[in-house]
Amino acid sequence: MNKEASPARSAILRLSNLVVEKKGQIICQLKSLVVAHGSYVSVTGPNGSGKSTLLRVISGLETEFQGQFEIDISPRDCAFVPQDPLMFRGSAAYNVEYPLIARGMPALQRRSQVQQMLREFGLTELKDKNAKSLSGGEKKRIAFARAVIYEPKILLLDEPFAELDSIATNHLIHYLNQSDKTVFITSPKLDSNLSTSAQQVELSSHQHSDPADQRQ
Amino acid sequence: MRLAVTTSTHDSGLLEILVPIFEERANARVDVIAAGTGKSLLLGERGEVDAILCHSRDAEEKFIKSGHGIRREDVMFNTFEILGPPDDPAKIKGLQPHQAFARLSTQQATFVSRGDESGTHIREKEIWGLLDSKTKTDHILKTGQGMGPTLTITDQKQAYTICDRATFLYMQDHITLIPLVPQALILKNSYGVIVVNPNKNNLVNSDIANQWVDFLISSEIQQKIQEYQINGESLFFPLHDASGSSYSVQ
Amino acid sequence: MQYLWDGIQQAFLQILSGDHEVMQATLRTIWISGTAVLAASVFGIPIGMCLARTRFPLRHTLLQAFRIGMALPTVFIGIICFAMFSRQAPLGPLNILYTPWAIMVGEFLLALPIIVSLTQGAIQSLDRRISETAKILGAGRLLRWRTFLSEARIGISLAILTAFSRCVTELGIAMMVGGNIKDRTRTLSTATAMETGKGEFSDGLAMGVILLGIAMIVTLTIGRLIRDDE
Repeated sequence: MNKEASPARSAILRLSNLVVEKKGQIICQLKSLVVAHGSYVSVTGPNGSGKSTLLRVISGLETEFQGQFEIDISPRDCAFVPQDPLMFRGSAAYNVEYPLIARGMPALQRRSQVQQMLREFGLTELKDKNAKSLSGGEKKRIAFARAVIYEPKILLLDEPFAELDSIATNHLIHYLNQSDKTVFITSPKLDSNLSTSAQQVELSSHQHSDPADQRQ
Repeated sequence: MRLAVTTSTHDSGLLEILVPIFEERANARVDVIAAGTGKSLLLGERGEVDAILCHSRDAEEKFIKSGHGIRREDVMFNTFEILGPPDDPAKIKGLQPHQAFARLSTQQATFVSRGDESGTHIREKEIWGLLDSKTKTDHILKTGQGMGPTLTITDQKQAYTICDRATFLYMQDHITLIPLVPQALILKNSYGVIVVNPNKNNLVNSDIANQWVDFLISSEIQQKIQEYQINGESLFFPLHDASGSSYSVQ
Repeated sequence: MQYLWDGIQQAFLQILSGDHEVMQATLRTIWISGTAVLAASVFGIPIGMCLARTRFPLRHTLLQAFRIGMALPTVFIGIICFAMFSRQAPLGPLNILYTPWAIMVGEFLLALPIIVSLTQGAIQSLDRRISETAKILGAGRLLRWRTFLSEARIGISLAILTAFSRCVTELGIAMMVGGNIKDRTRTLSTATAMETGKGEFSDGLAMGVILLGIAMIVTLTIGRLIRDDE
């Protein structure tokens, strides 16, 4: 995975002294982070270090935190694909169509966009299947298609390669390489798929009273 | 002893006076079951009660003839009233019963009927029966319920109905309806008491039932019946005079 | 015991022969209760949704009020309605006492708390991720609510069927404000009560059996809905 870091690009987000606390315990802590437009960020750290939480903060889902956080885009241009994405009741195609419905796109246009997207990711035969009955990997791929169909500027992917087979993995890498979006990817440790030219954020586990309490 | 009485008799409150006296004297417990005439006689037929008090002479006599009962005595009589709203929109005041009914029909004035084959309903049908068979009866609302609820419905709708005088006096303060038709023979309503045939099953207690009948027709109790009043008016009139012989009421 | 069995046999004969009175009462019961539940759903589902998804000062009080409403005896609702529609009352001139409309209003009041409370429960217990996912995908309030309705459709269907069941079988309201008037407001439950009171056990049983039948159909439908989705 290669992305050239161009020194002239402006920051898409700035973050400093982030602390997210739940029930008196710190679940995520990051001193500072500056990310330029179009860059690729790899977030690593052991389970319980707050990787998903960081993505949730950036996406706007997590609003209770301390620290400064500035982001240069509106929430609508942000896409978040969780580790275990939720499928709505309906077909896989409906799920991919959902963000376009939300944006008021007319039906005919929606349908063609969805078809295109499914073809691009090789998901066409899943089109009419009940989304809730898909396998973990299939759900992730549908969720990804659902996330990028509306051309977001930031992609927040939580462990996207887990559960994907090698074909799907290559597909995904290929897509990410080609796009100019800013991409955050979390994984438990540095993946061979991931390039070392990416910006690295390493989160460490926090002071927990009982190590067995650590949960992502 | 289990006694079946018609709902109107029950609603009049007379039994609440008489039954305790009897219970003490005969040293027995009386369970009073209120039901329409039809059901009361049916209960007697099935041997589920020991005595019946109702007001449908024809049905009573048939009951005895069929052998379901072994003794029947006249007890008391009262009258039916034809009631309507005080302003009498159909203008039936002062008419004879069958004339009043005819008028209600031509005027299509709402008439509320119990429609439950009770003594009251049977009498009502007799009056309708006096009229031309072409008389329309679509305006009749059939409630299938007892006199109390039927009166409430009639009052709420400011319509017309037929009701036994006892229940009317009892409910008088709660409704605005008034009697509009003067008394006539066809509105006389006589009550009879029957002892159920003990051969039905070995639970039927004809001894106490007979005591009950003797009790009711005794001059002392007949007097008491007349004395039972609401707002200074007697509800029922005895059918046995002081000497113990019965008045004849057609 | 014998006439219970006779009664049941007679009852089936009457149902099968399509006895006019029985058919009429059945249809009337279904359309009165059906309309009441429909109206209660139109109002109750949005109210339940609001109570589940929004926060406002008297929210908890309102929630408790609807829950208490579920436990109201039908005769109580009957008395209230009677008081509202009787001649002397402000709504008296509307003249709906002893008409099917009065029963409909009463059953609407019976069904509403059931639908509100069960809808609220169904939506509130939805996976939190549903609203998060909807939000992150850019869904506005309207689409989000449509999504909740879709995700909670079993719970909501249950609410509607429960309310229908309760309305079809209730006696207190139909008797008090309906008056059991032949051809007008005689429902299955009032007819059953009346026939039994008259000693016509087989007629009473026939209606009772139909009521039982309706209750069974509703229960089986609920069961199927739940199985379908799992």
